[in-house]
Amino acid sequence: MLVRFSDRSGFPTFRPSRGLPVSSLRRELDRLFGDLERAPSFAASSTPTVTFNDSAEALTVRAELPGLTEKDVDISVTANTLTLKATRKVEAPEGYATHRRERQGFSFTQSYELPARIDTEKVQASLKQGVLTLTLPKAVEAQPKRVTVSATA
Amino acid sequence: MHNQNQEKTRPARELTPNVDIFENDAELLVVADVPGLDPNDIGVHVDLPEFRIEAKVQGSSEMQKPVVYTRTFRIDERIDAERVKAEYTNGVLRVHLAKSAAFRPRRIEVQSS
Repeated sequence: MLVRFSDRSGFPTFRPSRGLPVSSLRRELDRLFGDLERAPSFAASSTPTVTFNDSAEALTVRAELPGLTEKDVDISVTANTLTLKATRKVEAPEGYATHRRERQGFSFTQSYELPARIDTEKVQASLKQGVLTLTLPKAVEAQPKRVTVSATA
Repeated sequence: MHNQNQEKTRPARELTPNVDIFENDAELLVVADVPGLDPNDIGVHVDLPEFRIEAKVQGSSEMQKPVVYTRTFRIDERIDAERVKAEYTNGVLRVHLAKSAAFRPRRIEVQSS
């Protein structure tokens, strides 16, 4: 198989994403080799960068979805899973010649098993300038409790 | 000119945003994915023939570390640096680089006498 790396858009680039170093490295490697296996068509769709953060009271999720609006995103949660769906269509503007095409459309569906039970009623989501931020408050029983050590005389 | 070999004094992550470039008779259109920015933190520099996009995300939290997006192009088309417009919506930057009037195609009517 002859693979010619002619331009930047075709070449699968290593893009370290935010998040846990090991899991993101693994994801990047999967993407890289996935891209190579699909060569020479190079019709790789880019996957959005999703980052998780765990604080005592809540899990927060940040996803980069440039160009998307509320209607392009579908979020569903259960007590211990999160499913994100996002679709992006990238079209060339009418009447223009195309010189460079790097921005890719995607149809992204990903389910995540959450590290703590969450209160599904209190989940909040906002999409601002292409960044989706989700706040998933933990269920009361999943929040850390401070244990006081009592001194016995 | 941005020099790749220079070291940074701040540990911001540098990203290369994905860019589409289109052209019609009137302008060159550059579209870049740069999510999560404050429009005030986006710099579009036209110093012909160099064209540079530079944007900074001020890292404010654990989730959002400082990031710098940069992309530099050499523009071969004749651009009117005074008439460059940029807009930022839904995390996508669109820069309209209008062509100089003298270099835009003009239709010449043939007079019949």
